[in-house]
Amino acid sequence: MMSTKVATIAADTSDPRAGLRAIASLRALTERLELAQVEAGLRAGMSWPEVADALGVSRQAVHKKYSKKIDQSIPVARRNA
Amino acid sequence: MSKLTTTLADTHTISLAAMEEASREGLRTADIEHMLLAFVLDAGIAGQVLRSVPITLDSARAAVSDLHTEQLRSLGIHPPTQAAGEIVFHETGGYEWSERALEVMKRSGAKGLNGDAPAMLLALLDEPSGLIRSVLLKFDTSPEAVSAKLDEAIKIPTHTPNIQNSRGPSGSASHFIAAPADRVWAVLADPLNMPKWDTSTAEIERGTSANTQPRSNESAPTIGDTWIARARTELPGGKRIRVKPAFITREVELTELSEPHLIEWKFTFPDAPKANIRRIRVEIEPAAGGTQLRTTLSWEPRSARKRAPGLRLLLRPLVRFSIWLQLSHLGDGIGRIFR
Repeated sequence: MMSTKVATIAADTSDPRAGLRAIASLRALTERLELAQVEAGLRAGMSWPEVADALGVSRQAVHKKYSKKIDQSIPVARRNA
Repeated sequence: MSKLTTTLADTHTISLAAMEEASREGLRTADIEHMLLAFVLDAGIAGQVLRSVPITLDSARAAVSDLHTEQLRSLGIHPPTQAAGEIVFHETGGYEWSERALEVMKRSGAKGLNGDAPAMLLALLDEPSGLIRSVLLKFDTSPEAVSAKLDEAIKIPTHTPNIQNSRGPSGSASHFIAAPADRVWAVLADPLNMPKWDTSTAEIERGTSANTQPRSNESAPTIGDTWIARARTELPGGKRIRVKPAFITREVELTELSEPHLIEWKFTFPDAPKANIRRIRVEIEPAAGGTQLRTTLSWEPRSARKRAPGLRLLLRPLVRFSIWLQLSHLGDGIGRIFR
């Protein structure tokens, strides 16, 4: 999905206003993909701690950010084990 | 409605529509582009001005999506094309406004603006990042051009039709539906579709409270026909909804059916014979880019209950709010079928 030229292009600072707006779009894309992957992980039977480890963040952080946002019908341990 | 209640009502309706649009994209933060989509669906002058550009819900969604794709491509990222998403707002939670969306709301209440939908749209058009400007450019227009049209439209006094004189409290609301009037009619004309637009209805079938032989579910609905509906007592996640047992079963009678523009239902509660009769009237009118609905909810007291006049005055704002909330819920439910 990502071209190997990202680092080069993203470092092109000749039009910073356009570049910053593009970063805003990228941030929204990241949010959307992260939520999708968190839901997919939980549906596949991963626990909150396993999801957190894969994301590289604390268990508390991922639980706090996502417990209300995910599809509420996913059966997942409510306890922050 | 007073200025304050209009502001609260508009804030609620715009917030709901924007967050529903964000949920379609798998997002939990509603940003200014979702606000713009919400305004395209607005029933009042803000929505009418946008739709007159012309902008439709579909073309607005495409323009926003294209803009994001272009901006990501400028970073060398080719995002996978997203399948058309479903609104999942009502089955999920954790929704928030982005900071700049909150800024727009704040600005719509400042400097002599009164925070209603037109004021919010004016504030949105003025947003500093350039995103709204870029979206509007795809429709060959600009924030300045739309603001000018909106300023003109605000000057024209709007006519609020007189609320029908009924024996009890009643209220009306307008809604814009992003679908042609004949499709809206097709869905509304058959009460068997009620669970599709009313989340509080769990199931409905032909029947009468008097236990006489009902007509078959396949026969075309006509005036005088009745259905029996049951209220939902459980949310999709399993949480229980509190409904008074006597109000779970309701009888729906079709009291008006004038194709293609008028439907009215009468709701009674067979297990609560003293409860007020509810009437819901829906007027359907084709409009630019979709359909304009006018919904009216009225309560008729069963008995001539003498309430102390002082108490009635005190209760009036609560009753008006309750009516408005039910109509807003109805309008949103109907609209969502076509989004």
